Amino acid sequence: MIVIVGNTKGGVGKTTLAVQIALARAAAGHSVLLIDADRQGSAQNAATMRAEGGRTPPLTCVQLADGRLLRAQLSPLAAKHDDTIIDAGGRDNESLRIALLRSDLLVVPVQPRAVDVWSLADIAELIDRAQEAREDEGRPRLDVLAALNLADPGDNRDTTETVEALAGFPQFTVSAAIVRRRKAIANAMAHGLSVAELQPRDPKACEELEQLISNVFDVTELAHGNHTAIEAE
Amino acid sequence: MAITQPSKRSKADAFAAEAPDAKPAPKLRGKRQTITFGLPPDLIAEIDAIAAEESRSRARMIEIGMRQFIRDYRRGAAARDAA
Repeated sequence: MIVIVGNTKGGVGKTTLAVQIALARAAAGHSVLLIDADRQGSAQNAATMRAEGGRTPPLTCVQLADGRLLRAQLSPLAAKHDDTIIDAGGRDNESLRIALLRSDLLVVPVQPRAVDVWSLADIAELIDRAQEAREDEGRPRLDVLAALNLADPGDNRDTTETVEALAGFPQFTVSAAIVRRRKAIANAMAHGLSVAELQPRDPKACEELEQLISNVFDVTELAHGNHTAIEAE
Repeated sequence: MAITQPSKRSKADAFAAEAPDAKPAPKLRGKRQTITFGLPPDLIAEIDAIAAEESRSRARMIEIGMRQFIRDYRRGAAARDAA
């Protein structure tokens, strides 16, 4: 399965979620490839920190930020792994578009902030165009899961209103998981660790990410275009 | 009977190519690739004067000049390596 974590809006935690999804799948025994399609190379840095820390399982990560190279390499690389997770750069670019054409699922991290909600129309429009292009090529529709990320801790109006705004976009299925801004997640990333590996353990951070990741791999079973919230197991 | 031509570029190709950072495909005229670059006006005037004397085009004169430069450069590099 090829999963792209992408949003045309930057600063929404794409790299964090991509690395956490990849690590969770690797820990579950899957053969995982993380593709860093962002020129900043932050996912690669996380993979390097993990390797230098001697952690197992290793996180296999390659950087393919050039769109044409990604187009050429994605299928043969993905064929060698159970799961391929792509961390796309934080803007509309060629590698994001190639990944939208070739992936099975797009995870869109959305920060519950006004600026992020305003930007939803941009990624929604790109998704529409990608779906048209996929249909033209005879490819199945791209599944799209919007994931609330970097939310303020506790129930708050911003988060509720962002969920309401997302419901207005038929392009997204909205995950019931809400990943909040937690120091444990940032600390885990700094060492290339999953939150489950970080000591001392932050049970809330672990639970939120577990719920999101289970949604990511359940979403293809849902009806396409259905934006009903998914209940975690 | 209506004869329709298949579209040269699929929607998927167009979608990827319209990304803000997508590099345009090289412009080819026959077996030649068109490039654009600037030169100082006095150099252009000199190239044009020689092109007129030789009854050749400006583009052809630049091509001859570049081929000559590459030959000289390679010979110089080989001589330096041998020294």
